[in-house]
Amino acid sequence: MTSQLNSRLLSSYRRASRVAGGIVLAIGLLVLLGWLLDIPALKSILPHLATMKANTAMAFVLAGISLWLVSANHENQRLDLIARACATLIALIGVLTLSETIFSQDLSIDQLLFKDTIAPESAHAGRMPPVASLNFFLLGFSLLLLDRQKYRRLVEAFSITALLISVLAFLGYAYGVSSLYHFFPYSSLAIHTTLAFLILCAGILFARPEQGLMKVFSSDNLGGVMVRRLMPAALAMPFLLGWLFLTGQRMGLYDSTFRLVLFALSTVVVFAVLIWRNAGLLQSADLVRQQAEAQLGQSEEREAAILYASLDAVITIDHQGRVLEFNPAAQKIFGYDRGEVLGREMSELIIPPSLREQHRAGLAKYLATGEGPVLGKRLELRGMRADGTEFPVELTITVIAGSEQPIFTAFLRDLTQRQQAEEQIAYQAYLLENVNDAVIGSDENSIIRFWNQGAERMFGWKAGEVLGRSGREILRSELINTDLEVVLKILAERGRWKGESIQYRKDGTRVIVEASSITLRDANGRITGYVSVHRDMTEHKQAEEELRKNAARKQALADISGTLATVHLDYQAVLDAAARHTTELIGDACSIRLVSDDGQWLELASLYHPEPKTLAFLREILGTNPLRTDTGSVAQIIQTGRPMLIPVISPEQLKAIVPATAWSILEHISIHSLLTVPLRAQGGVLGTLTLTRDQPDRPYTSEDEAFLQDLADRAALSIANARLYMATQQLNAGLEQRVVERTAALSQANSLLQMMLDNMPDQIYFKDAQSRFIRNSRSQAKALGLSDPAEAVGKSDFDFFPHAQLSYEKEQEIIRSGKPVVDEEERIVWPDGRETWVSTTKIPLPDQSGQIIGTFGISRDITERKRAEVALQKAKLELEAANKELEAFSYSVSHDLRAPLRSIDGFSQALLEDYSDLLPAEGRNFLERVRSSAQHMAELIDDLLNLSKVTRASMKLVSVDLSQLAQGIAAELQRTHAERRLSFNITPNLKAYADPNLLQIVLENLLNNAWKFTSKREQAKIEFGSKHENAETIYFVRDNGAGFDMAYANKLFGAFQRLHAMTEFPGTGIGLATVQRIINRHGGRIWAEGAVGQGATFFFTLPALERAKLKAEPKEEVSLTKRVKEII
Amino acid sequence: MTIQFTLLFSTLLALISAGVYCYVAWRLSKRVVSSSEGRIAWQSFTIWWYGLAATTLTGGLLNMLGVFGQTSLPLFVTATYINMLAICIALWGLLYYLIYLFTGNSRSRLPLAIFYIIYYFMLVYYITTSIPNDVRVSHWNTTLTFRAPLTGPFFVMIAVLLLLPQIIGGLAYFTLYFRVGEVTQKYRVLLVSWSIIIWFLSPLIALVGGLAQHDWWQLASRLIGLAAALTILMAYLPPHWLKQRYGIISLSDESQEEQKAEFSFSSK
Repeated sequence: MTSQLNSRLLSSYRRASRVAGGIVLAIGLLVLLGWLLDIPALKSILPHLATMKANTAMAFVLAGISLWLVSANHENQRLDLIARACATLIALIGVLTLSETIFSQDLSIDQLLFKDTIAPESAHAGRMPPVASLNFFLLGFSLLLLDRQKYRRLVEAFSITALLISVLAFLGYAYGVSSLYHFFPYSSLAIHTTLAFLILCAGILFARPEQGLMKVFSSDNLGGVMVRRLMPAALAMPFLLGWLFLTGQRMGLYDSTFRLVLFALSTVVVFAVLIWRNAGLLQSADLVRQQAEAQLGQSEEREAAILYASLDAVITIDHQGRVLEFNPAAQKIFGYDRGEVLGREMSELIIPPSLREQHRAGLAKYLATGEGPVLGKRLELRGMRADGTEFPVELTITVIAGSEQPIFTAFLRDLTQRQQAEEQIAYQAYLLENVNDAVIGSDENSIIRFWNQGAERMFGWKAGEVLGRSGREILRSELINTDLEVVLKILAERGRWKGESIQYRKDGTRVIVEASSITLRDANGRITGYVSVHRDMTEHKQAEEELRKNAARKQALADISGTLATVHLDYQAVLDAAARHTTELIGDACSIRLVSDDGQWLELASLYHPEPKTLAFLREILGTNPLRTDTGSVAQIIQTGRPMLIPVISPEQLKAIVPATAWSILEHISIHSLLTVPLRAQGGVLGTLTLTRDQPDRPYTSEDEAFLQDLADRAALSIANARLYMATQQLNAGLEQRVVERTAALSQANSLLQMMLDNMPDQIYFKDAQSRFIRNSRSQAKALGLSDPAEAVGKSDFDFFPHAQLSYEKEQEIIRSGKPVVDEEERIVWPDGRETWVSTTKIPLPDQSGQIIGTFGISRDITERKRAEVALQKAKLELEAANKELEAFSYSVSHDLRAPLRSIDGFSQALLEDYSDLLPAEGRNFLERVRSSAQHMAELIDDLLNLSKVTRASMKLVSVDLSQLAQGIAAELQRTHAERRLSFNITPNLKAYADPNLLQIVLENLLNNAWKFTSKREQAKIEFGSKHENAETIYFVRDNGAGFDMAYANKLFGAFQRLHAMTEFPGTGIGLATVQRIINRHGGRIWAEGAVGQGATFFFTLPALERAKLKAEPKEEVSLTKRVKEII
Repeated sequence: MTIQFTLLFSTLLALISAGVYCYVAWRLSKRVVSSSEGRIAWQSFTIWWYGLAATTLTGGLLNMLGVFGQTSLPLFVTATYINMLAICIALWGLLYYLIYLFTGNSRSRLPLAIFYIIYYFMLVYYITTSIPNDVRVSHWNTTLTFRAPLTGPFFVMIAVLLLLPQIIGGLAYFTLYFRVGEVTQKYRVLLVSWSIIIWFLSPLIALVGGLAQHDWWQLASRLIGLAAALTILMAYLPPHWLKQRYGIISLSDESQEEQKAEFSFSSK
């Protein structure tokens, strides 16, 4: 038997467990805080009590977390893992501490968190009492194994053991019996430790209230009610009473004997009251149960009787779908015996296979959710008999959910017969309603009682309009070949009549019907009414007439077509034949007009009238009055291609559609009906065919119109054929002339091509799709060793070159892709052994439809050019090597020259200083000159060395502040020549990506030059700046000094080139050469502009800067950049 | 009744400081920050200023009560508790701003809030267990006196928790100086970070060096606070000459630039 759990209680217990976890966690944290901040009140509550150790507090923190997590209703595996980890740690703390106590070992874990002095109540500083460690061991494992069903009993045993130990300690504190919490010397369980354990144990037990021992606490049964009522009292009352009376004794109110008496008495009273109250509850519940059982017994008897007598099948099943009851009607309907179905699954027995899964899913859903959408509803579905046949049933299901598992009762009614009858009636009604014939039912007085949809369609009256009214009044029948009295007599005597009659619709039009009537009689043979079936014969009759007419016209058309066919190539004969035959068939007069060549006029092409005089008159009048194609009714016919029929036409109408110029005709002829049809052929309108009727009593009809249009289409086709024949004749004549002309042009083009092929030095060739020569130039034939280009036709490269595969593949690729190869250089070894270089262009060769059928190629001999390139490259390499050699030589020579120069200068100076008195003035002068020359030469050598260095030095490109460099140089110049009046204008923040040392040399040279060449200016100006042109930065140094003649601007940057006399502006002439070399090494350009006496400007670029900008983009984190931008 | 003019001056200074903090907060709150996380961080920064204004105002008002001899112990204790709450909220705002700015991590909001809640309760606990027993009116301020002296490791821990996170945050903030490129950003980082560092470092030094027990320290700390506020205000609203010379952009210029950008964008 299973007990029913109270979901509300389950939820409350889990919540309580979680709260317990929270409390334990809070206790642990507070005590840890006490240890952290050294707060005695948190460690031991009261000064004389034992302290909770830090490890204990930590274990409680972990236990609180673990309990909180396991109590929470979550499915987070990570949280589960944390809970288990905490539980494992608790158990570990317990085991390790216990082992320390048992084995008298110090594992140094007691003071891991906080240092503790030896406390009198503890054997070791900071160590938790053995009882606490035992409890942690037990509870840690309990938390760890909480969800393991296999260890459920063990978990309960561990938790209850820990609970008992804690209760014992708690009683010790409550009753003042220290031995209950002071288990061993120096091993007291602190009061808040005891409380925390109590809460933790209870929390663990209630964490899974639906399992094990705790299940009874959650049950809705009487047992559950009793345990919830009695257990708290049983636990709390003896403890409270004992504590109360003990306190009284200690206060001296009474002795121990009296306390025992009091305790026994009060316990008896309390429990007697409790038992009395609960016995009353049990009695009430039992009475209710007995009444329910009695009612149930009666109810079952009634139900059995009903079940037995019921005409409907009643089947009861349990929650697994197994049959519990199967009444006699069910046995009869489904063909099973009760004995063979009881205990079997119902769905396998009476539900068709296609519905079984649906049934099982519905049952499972109800059991899972309590929701059953079909319960209590009347459903019509299919059932299955024992022999496997399916049949319709009506089903109602009820559920009894009061017991532990629900029981379902199905009431089923066999709907086979009812459904068959309904289907039959519905079928008959459907037939009656949907037959094409009109079915009319009337009573004996001809009052209409039934009027089907066929009658509505046939007579135009809706059923609602005629029901209850007299049939004679509604239908107004005119019987054919008989009368009503005779019909009624026949019906009365024979019971049925069949014949034809004319009847009138609601709108008054006639309808010819074939009527079939029968007489209805009651049981006594008395006539109660009639049923008539009317079939519409109107269309049938009309179709017969139409058939006759069509036959006649088809014959006529065949005759006309034959006539037209015989004259098909004679244009005018076709027109005349068409006009004549048409008039003979359906008209009094016929005219055919055709659209003129310019499309603006309708000109009379043929005319026919049986009366020669009238014909002559009409020809004279109509022939001189052509009609415009863009005005009047004619325009409409030509534009739309549709005929125009005016069955009866008045003179006024005629005037409206005839141009005013033709009105005079109307006075001489009489026209009463008019029919004009277009002559349609090849998607256009060639002209019109018009018929007029002289007599007023035979107007043209739509049938005439259709017939005439058919005739006109045939005539138009003949006209078009005749025209086409004439046009073809003319075209052939023109075509022959064009062929002659084109042949002459092609011949001329071919001559030109041949001339080009014979005389062009380039090799020209055409090849087919298989790369075989079609045609060649004479030059190529000669190169191939052929005397006549025609000899190459049909041959391929393979016939001349042993390694032609590559060339062949390239040509095939051109044919495949349609992409040309332009100016491809290749080396060719000719059949005679010559080697040449050619530049070849090959393009796809298309035919007139654009399809590629081969290749066309031109090869030009470039052997000479190639030889020149090779020679040039060789010369360049040689030149570079020579330059390097020369630089090295210059460097070493310059370097080696410095030493003797220093000696010359030094000894000259020594002579001047030491032997000045011995030398005459001229000698001293010579020595001065020697020194001056030596110093100048030293400068020259220095500059040469610098020039050499800047060429050889390795470059390190970094961001260089040019403005800063320029400012430094300017400051130095001003410092050394303080007397000069000069203004520097240096643009700040000019930056470049360059080698800073080399740029220093550049600016020094340029600024020194500017300084030097402005030395003769009263107010000198030097400017350093930049400008942007064509997306590049151009730096410049500008001065207002001596300037130069632009004619010599190209000499400025050559070594030792000087535009001014040495005496005027001293210098070596190497500075600008050095500058140019540095700028060139940076990939930049340098040039100068100036005029004599008006100053000079030196420009240079450093393109490396642009590259550097890309390199130097700061690689900051985007997020940081964004944050900084937003909130700094 | 004798009015202590030094105390009155200190009160006036506190009220001015509160006004300045409030203005800084209001001015900063006008800044438009587009990203939601950045907006929260910036709002936290303004919360810091508002919180600071609130706590300074409370201190000033208590001083004023002291000036007029109104020294009700319950009132001062209650005001102290409220003041501490304002301080904790303000510190939360500042620290969150600094952490977000430095790490971009917006998930620190909740842990920081929990930290400061705990910190607030620690403060309350500490004040309560120290047993406030009187209100002392000194030359420069009016404060509570306690039966247990405000010393010991717990006091040091509270002070460290109060000041150290802000100092570390300020230093971390300063390291951004080397990671940002624009001169305006460098300028702001420099001024704001060092204002915060000096502001919070000075009481720590005073505490360790025993300066905090001197009366004048109250005035000095108030002046440091005021100077820090003005410096930070100058960081975001630099004087004209600084803008001219170094091209530094103020908050108001930023908004104008943004409006111009929006206009040019919409014009396209």
